[in-house]
Amino acid sequence: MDHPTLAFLYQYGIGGTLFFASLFLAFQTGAIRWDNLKNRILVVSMTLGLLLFAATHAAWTFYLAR
Amino acid sequence: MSELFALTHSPQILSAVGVTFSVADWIVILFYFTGIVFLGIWFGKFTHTTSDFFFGGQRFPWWLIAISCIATLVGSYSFIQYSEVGFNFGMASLVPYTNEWFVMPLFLLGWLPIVYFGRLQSVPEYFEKRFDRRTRLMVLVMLLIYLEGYIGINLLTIGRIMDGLFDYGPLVGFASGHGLFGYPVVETAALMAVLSGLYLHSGGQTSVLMTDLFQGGLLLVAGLSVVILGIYQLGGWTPFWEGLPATHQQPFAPVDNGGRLHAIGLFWSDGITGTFAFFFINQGILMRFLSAKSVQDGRRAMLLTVFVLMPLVAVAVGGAGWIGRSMLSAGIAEVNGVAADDIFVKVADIVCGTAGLFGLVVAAMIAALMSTLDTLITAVSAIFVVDIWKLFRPDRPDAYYLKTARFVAVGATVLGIALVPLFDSFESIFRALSHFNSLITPPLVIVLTLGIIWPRFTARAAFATLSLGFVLLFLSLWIPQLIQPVAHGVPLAYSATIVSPDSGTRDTVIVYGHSLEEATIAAQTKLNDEDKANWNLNEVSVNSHRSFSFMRSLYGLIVCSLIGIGVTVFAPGKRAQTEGLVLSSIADAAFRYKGGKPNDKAPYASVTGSFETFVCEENRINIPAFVMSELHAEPGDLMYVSDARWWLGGFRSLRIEAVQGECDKIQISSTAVEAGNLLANRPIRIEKIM
Repeated sequence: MDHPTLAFLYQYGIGGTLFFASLFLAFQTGAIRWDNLKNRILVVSMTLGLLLFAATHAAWTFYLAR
Repeated sequence: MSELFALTHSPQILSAVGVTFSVADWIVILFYFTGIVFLGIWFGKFTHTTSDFFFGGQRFPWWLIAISCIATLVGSYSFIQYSEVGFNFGMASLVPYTNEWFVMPLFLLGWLPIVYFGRLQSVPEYFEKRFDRRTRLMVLVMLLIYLEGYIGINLLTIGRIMDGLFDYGPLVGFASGHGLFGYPVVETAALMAVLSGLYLHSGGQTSVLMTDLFQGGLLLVAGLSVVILGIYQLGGWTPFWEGLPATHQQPFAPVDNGGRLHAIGLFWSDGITGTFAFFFINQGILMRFLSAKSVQDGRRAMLLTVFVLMPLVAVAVGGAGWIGRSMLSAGIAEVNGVAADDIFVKVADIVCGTAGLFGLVVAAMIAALMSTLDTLITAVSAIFVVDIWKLFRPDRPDAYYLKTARFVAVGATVLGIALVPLFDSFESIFRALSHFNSLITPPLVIVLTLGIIWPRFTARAAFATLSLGFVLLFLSLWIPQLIQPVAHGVPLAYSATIVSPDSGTRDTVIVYGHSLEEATIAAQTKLNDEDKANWNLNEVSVNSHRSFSFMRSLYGLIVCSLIGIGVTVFAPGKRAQTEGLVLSSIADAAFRYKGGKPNDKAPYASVTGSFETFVCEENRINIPAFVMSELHAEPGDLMYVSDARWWLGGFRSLRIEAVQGECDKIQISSTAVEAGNLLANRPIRIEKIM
């Protein structure tokens, strides 16, 4: 496997696990609630942000690898 | 007039790195300095209490906090360091500013509400409330070392930059590079520290936040201008991009890169530990977020920072390195032979053709220093007063603590200047910084994380993690093999002693290898590459201090986690305090913060209108029933009242408890008007915080 793909998978694989594990913990402990509008907007914004950065990095890596 | 124009555009070469200054550049720098110092002093007039001094009265909106955060994040070394990375490794220089997402849930959903609702004033205070006093003291010592070290490193960097740019020795009759007293780096650093201290001493956090607004803007504009002008000068995007080697076009550093910068080390040392240390443990950044008018604004500020501003900053601070590399491929002679750590200044000089523009770029570097330095100094001041002085001198008037804070700010500055010669003795400050960070932060990261997410985590476990963790991390400096099992195949560093056969001169080169044989071959190859093939290779041995600069963080995180979890499970000791201090009790913390059930109805409603003043010695607001209804507010809700002009950034504002009045118009007491710097003839905006 070429190194840019491996670096991408490593960063977003481990980082993404930490991210979603923290989100899960926050919901499970009641630190945030889905029925609270402010909480909902915050969680969606964070998740979209992470996914957008991951998608940009993926597209960049894929473009150079082709 | 034409003579004046000619004078301002006449080049004056005053620099050690061969850049050209015109009088116009000098004028821009002078104007910038004068303006920012006066601005800071002016805002200082509105500092009345320690809350104002440290936290700006908790009244600032999200966008101001975000910009201020950026001004703090970009240190004086950022332009130099990241342009160097950009020059050597290309687009990988973007990574440190785009890998914050992974710890965001813990910060935004855990740490920020805990410190905000807990009304904590310093990071160590959390450790005492959650654990015990000895844990707090241990953290306190480590934090002060961390912050003072950063002050010293920032001052050293700006001292080196300015010394390289302004060789003022000959102007005052001394030799080139002599300065005034024979130590130009310290002299310039001291001058910069005094200028920053001038407004900080007067205004504290209010001055810092308001001047950061200008400094942060200038940083972005100047850095991005250099990149855009550079691409233009290279003939557009295509020639620029094609001028970069294929490896430089990749968004990540290589996974396997010998001992040099690599993707996995960067992820652990910067993405996880560095980000955590910066946003969770750095008292200066914490104070930024505590200055926000609400937790919600703190969260928005962070999202704006990581989503928009940090990627822009990444381009602004590292882009000159990419331009320099592309210029090298294009055969532009001026960048030939320029050292990587000079590339930012050199590229800026080449692309800033207009007189005054280069001065603006230099002013941006100074802005980077001042905005980072002022944050660090207020942080030291806050920790000292809140965590030490109040323990020995409790129950004194607020004015007494404010005066102490100002003197501590001066002391922290002087100590930072005193540290400059110490750091200056290191061969590379960035290598020293990397070691410094990886030694101090992993135990703090683990104790704080487990403290937030795991109610069972005890005081004994926290203390054991901190103390044993530090011991094991320091031990790894002498026994790097401890790190090897988690080093992901990164090789050890070796020092190779080489001797010139002609002059007998001895030198040392650093190489990397998985074994002595591999290191010896690498050393020989390096000598051949550097035209020193005839030098004798005398001795090759493991350089323990240089090994695993980027992987020490992962090692620290693993051993500290094992200690923390192990002690909690097998020898937990007394159960620690968790109320309002862990994820599962944040709702209780919010309840206690408000003094009642938080009101989450219509969270984004606001009302704009005029008000009348009544004489009263308390902070009080009477809100008519129809306004309360429009805001979905109830008596006792926490309200934010501000001048309706949003761009004032909360400078004229206050937070106040809502009282439903039998009136047709909003009424605010004279005391509250004064406390919030409100103007009687200007409309106000009211919103419900919680």
